[in-house]
Amino acid sequence: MSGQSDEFSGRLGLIFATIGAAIGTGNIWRFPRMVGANGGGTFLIPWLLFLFVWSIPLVIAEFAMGKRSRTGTIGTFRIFTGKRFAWMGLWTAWISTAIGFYYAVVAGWCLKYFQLGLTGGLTGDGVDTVQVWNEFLQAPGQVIFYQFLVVLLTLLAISRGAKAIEKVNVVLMSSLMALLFLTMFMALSMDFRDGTLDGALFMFTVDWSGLFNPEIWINALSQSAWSASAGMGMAITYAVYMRKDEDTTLNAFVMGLANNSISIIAGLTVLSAIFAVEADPLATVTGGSSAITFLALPEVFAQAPGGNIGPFLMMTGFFLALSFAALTSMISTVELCVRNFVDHGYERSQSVWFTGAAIFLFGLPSALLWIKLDGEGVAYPEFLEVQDHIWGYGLMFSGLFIAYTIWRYGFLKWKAQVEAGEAESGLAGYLNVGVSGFRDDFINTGDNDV
Amino acid sequence: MIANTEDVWNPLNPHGLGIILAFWGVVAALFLWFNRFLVTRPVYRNVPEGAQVDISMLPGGADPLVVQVGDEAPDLAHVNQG
Repeated sequence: MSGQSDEFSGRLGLIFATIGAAIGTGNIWRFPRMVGANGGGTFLIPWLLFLFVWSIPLVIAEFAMGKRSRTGTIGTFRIFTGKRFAWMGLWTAWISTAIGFYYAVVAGWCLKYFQLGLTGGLTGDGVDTVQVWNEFLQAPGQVIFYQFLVVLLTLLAISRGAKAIEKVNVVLMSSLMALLFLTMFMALSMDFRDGTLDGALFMFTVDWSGLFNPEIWINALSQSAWSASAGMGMAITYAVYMRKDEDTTLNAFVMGLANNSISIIAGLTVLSAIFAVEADPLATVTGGSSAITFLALPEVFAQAPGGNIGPFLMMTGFFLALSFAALTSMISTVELCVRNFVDHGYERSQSVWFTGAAIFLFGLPSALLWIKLDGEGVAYPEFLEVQDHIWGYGLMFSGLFIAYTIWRYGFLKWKAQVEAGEAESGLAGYLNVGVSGFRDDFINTGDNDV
Repeated sequence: MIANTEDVWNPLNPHGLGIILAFWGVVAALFLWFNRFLVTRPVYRNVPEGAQVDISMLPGGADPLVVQVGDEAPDLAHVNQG
């Protein structure tokens, strides 16, 4: 195969690309709902704990694997776990790509709502947000148009390789942070009109007895893993473009902490705005997946102070930030698939357009099928929700495959040392050599983890 | 079974667990079967200049079909000679 290797130009590019991959609608859309449904500040404790004991360690492992193998998920499992296990890499790639099928539709919704905010379609007298939502979801042409736009923008961003991905992520993530800060300050000022910051207080007040509720822990784990993209293969893919002197542990910590910081900002924005306006804010926050973002928030933002300017800024700022978050996650999802094609000898341009076409076509059922009305007359895409459910299960296996790879490497290392007479047999020997085998060889090696 | 089961992905349904296990069983079997095709193709590693490191100690690191971008895989070289 002809061609040249590709890499990020520096640490900034790597960090922005990985943060862009991690930060998605899960941070801005799902996190505030999770906080609301799981006791406010109580939820933050297990969520933060799982960042350090689950998400960051998984991302460190992915970085270490991708940086050493220098291939996408299929090649990484083939090299790290053995030839018989290449399918695990295919599984990881497939699950992420399958999530991309319907995620492009969801990202399209975000773009549509940005357009509505820009053109005043969500503000003014007589705007019924349920009607706006229902009419949009039940108009296949519009949903497909925005889905197509998302796929096209994604392909344009990744078609030129690592340096283009890096540049796009730097621009989009910087803009996203600026927009979120703007909307957060506006939301806090809305909430402070009555002299209290109820939303912020709710978000940071801990009810210690709530920590005995196992559901809070399960939701915190799923939110942390989903939000940081831990175990999805994304970090393996971007590690392929790491420069030699990048430190995997440091970068994983920066990514994880930035990801959680954005979640906190988004949580403050959404909860403060809702607590400022709604009579029963918790009922609004927990009122269904789409409800809070596309039904409640436009109503809330429409009541922002500052005449016409305030609601306009909040609406467009929030939905543009949401669109950017969704786009950067789409970029990493598509790149994960493309990298595997390129690793197997296909031209990058062919791989990009083939993957894009597949994501668009296989996403069409999520855009079109089973658009139903719930008991309150709000439209919801049942096929899309089933997809979300199925591939969410699959994602758990991807994380387990990475854990298995780490265990297997340590086990084989220990066995080889026992045969060479360099390590003890039995449990004590395994605990001495096998458990830390992967870490000793690939993480914190003192030479920037080459 | 799927058509007659309400909320098919709920493992607590009468057929829920069977449906979930059957679905993932078929998916897993397909991936395992596909492995034989995956490993016959060469893999080209994206190794930037100066970042070459040894991978031979890894379980699949000695695979002759794992090469670097710009190199030719052994079987392709053989075809070219022919």
